[in-house]
Amino acid sequence: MANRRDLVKRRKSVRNIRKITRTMQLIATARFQAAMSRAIATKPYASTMGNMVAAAAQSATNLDQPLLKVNDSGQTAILVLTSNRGFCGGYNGNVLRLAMETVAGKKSDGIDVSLNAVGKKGIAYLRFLGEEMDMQDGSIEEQPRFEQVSGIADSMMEAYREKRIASLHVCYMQFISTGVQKPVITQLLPIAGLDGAEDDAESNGEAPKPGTGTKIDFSPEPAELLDELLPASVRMRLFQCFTDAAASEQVARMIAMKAATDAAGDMIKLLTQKYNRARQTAITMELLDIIGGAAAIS
Amino acid sequence: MAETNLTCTVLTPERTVLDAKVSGAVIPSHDGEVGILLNRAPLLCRLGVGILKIDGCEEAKQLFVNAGFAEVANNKITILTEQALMPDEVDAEKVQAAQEEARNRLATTAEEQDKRNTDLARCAAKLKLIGQ
Repeated sequence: MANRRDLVKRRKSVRNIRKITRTMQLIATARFQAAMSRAIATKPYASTMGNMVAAAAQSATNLDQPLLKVNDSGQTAILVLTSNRGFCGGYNGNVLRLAMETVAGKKSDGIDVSLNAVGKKGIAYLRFLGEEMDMQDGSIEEQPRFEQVSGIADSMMEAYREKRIASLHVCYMQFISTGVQKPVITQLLPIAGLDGAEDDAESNGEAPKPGTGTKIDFSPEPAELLDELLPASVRMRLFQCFTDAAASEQVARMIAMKAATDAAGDMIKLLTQKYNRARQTAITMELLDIIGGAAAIS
Repeated sequence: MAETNLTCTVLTPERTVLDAKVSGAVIPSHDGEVGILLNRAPLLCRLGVGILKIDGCEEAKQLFVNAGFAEVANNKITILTEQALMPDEVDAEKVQAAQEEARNRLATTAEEQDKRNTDLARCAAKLKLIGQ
C-alpha cells in the first residue's frame, strides 16, 4: 500500500517539474526570437562597415596601422563568451571545452595565454580549474548592449597597441541556424587579410564594394580614416560575436528544456503504469483473501 | 518639393534607424557640414557629433548622430553611427543634467579636456535637435 502512495507522490512531483520546464521552454523560445532578430539587425551595419574598410584600405597609401601589424611579443588573449545562467544543456560545456583545448594547445607550444571570461558560468568553471583570468565580466545580460561590448573591445585594443597581447581570439557559440550552432574560435586581432582588400571582402562573403574603380572622395585621407574605421570594425565584430552567442544560448536552452519536458512526460507515463499495476495487484490480493476466506467457511 | 530619388539609410550596430527615400541630406562631417544631392560623387567621410538633416522625408527631418562614418555611392547615403536618435528619443532633462555635469567637471589633462568638449558638443547637439 505504501508503494502506491509513493508512486502517486512521485508522479505529482514529476508533473510539477514538467510544468516548470515547459514554461522555461516557452520563455526561451520567446527570448530566442528577440535575440535572433537582434543578431540579424547587426548584419547591415557590419557589411557596410566591411565595405568601407575595404574601400579605404584599397586607396590608402600606407597601411601602417598598429591593429594590422602582428605583435611579436605579449600573450595570446582568449576571450570566452558563456552564459550567465544554466539550464541550457551543453552550451557552456561545448564552448569551454573548445577554449580549454585551445589553451592547452597554446601552452604546449610554449605560448603564454591570457584568459578573459564573460559570463558567470565560464568564470565559475575557470575558477574551479584554478586558471587565472585577466578579465572577468558577469554583468552582461542576455541582451548585450553595444556600449558594454565596445568597452571590452576598447580595452583589448588598448592592450594590443601597448603590445601586452600578441593576438586576440574570441571563443563563442556561433549561430549558424536554429538547428545548427557551433563552438568556434576566431581571431579578432591583429585584423587579418586586409593587405589584399578585395580578398577580405570576398572571404567575408560580402558583396564587392559598389562603385569600385570610380574615384571616391575621402575625408579625411584614407589612412587617417582607417585610424577610426579599424577600431570601429573590431568593436562591431566583437558585438556580433556577443549577439551570436546570445542567440545560441537561447536555442540551447530551448532544446534542453524541450528534452526535459519530454523526459518528464515519459516518466509520468511509466509511473502511471507502475501505479496501475500496483493497484491491480492490491485488488487481486484482496479478492484472493475474500475468496480464500469464503472457501474456508463453506 | 524636389524628387526623392536618393536612398538614405541610418544604421547603428543594434538596429536600422532609418531607411527612406529622400531628396537630399546634410551630413555632420568631422570638419563641417556636407550637403548631399542627387548624383554626388562617391564619398567616404568620418562624422562628427551633430545633426543629420534630411530633406524630403516624412519619417524624419533631423537626427542626432554621435560620430561614425558616412558613405555616398550610387545615390545611396549610408550613415554608420554608434548612436542615432530621433528627436522624440531625446530626454531633455537627462541631457541637461549631463551637460551640467560636464560643465562642472574638472579637466586638467588634454585628454580629459577633449572628453569634456565632446561630451558638451554631444549635449548641445541633442538640445538643438529638440529645439532648446
